[in-house]
Amino acid sequence: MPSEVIFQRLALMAEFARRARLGRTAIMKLCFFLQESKEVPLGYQFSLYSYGPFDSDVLADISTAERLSVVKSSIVYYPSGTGYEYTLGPDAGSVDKLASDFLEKYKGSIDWALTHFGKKTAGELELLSTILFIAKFHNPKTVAILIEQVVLIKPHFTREQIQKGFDYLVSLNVLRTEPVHQ
Amino acid sequence: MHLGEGSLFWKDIISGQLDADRMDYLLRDSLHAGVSYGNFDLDRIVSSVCVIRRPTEESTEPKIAIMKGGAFAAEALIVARYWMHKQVYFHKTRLACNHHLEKAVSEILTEERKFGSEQVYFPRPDDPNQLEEFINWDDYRIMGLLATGHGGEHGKRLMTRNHYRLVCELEESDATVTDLSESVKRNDAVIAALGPVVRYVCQPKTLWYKTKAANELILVNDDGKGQIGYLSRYSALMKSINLGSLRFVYADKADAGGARQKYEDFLRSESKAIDSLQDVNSTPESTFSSGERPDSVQLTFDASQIEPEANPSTGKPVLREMPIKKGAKDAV
Repeated sequence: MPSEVIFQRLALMAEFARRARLGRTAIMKLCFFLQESKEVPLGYQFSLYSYGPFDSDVLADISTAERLSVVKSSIVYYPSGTGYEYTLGPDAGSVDKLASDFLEKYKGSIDWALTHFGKKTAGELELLSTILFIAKFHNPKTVAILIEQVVLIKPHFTREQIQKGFDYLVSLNVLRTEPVHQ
Repeated sequence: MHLGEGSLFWKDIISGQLDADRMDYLLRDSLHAGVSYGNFDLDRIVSSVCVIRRPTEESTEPKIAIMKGGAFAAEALIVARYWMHKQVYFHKTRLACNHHLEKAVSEILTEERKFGSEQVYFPRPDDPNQLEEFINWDDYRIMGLLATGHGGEHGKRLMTRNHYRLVCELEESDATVTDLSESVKRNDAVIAALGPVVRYVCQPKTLWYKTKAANELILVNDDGKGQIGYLSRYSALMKSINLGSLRFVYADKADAGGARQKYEDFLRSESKAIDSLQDVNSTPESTFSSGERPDSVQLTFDASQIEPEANPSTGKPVLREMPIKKGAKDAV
């Protein structure tokens, strides 16, 4: 992985923190959508995990961004428990400078990800990212096969919920009806 | 004190600076690896652990803390973790074998298990239909497959102990963004200088201690009243241990010697360049005006420019003893 990607990833963390109040799961899924749908070269290697596509490097990068004061975390309380939320840290400007070309080039994609996925719940992001993962990497021939494969992996989602999630991704041109991934 | 099911306090017990998992695996790994680096005073820590209701003004989430009397035991635990990382978890051969094992298992899964089309996936432990298969993928099965020639090139390397060899360890300081940027640039230059013999660069992401408020260990007075502060600010030892990460650069066994030599050449030229830069800056007649520095100093040594003194009778070059400068003898 080229070294400049380290600073591009940190600058992306700062950009997320600048423009939204996201937790770790949301950052993970936004990185996934940016890389796998908008082809932003972040160099992550996602695999399916309990809460959808996951790469431990994303968590390591959030941790590095926090250690370098690029972002700062605070505890937030949800009805189901507690988690962390990230806001801009005092040294965010220093990574912006190191990755200014990257931020400029992918500004539209970052806007797109924040607009369409930035306010989704963790459950919605889990479902949407899993649908995209299956569609892209398991090559289901039809929508029906895609839905069955998602049900197999995520039995807590109903077929109707999966269909709705699929329709949402089609409406964003992330997927199409047949074949489901371009 | 009421703690709900979703409270972060529970996470602290299994994944924090002083968690049960860490205390268990350090002692166990230390025993099984036959080293004593991972030892610490477990009993003292257990008797000094406490829970504080409000670690910070903004927080209402309780947190695990340690009483002042147990500070040295907590420090010893963190140092034990540091040593275990340095000596065992980041051991050069372990990291190389880990890489080969990862690749070999991936190859074995490709041979044995496919999902849908070509995507390989590991059976899920949280799916009742796959649990049995998940349990069957144990160490013995993997080792048996490796022993019978599975696992591709990396499996073969493990079986014949033909693992990649360490060329150099490169430190990456990340105290600030600028430090990180400079050390990354320098380490990239080292790897570029080594060339195509580099087969694998490992950069473990695990840190042995986190110094940010969300993860820091908090000290409280022995009577349980009043916080003293974060352990890293209280402990001189913690302040002095480097938190930077490392890059481990590997080559094939046959290329490792040459690559190490190249790395030494790089270090020599780097140190000459620094010396030369210092000389330039300290010379009063420097061609650089105050505050202006050259971007780089190129060092060249052309042996053909030096005419050896010849013996008039044989015509062969002679070695002449160099006069010792005044004062140099005393220094020796």
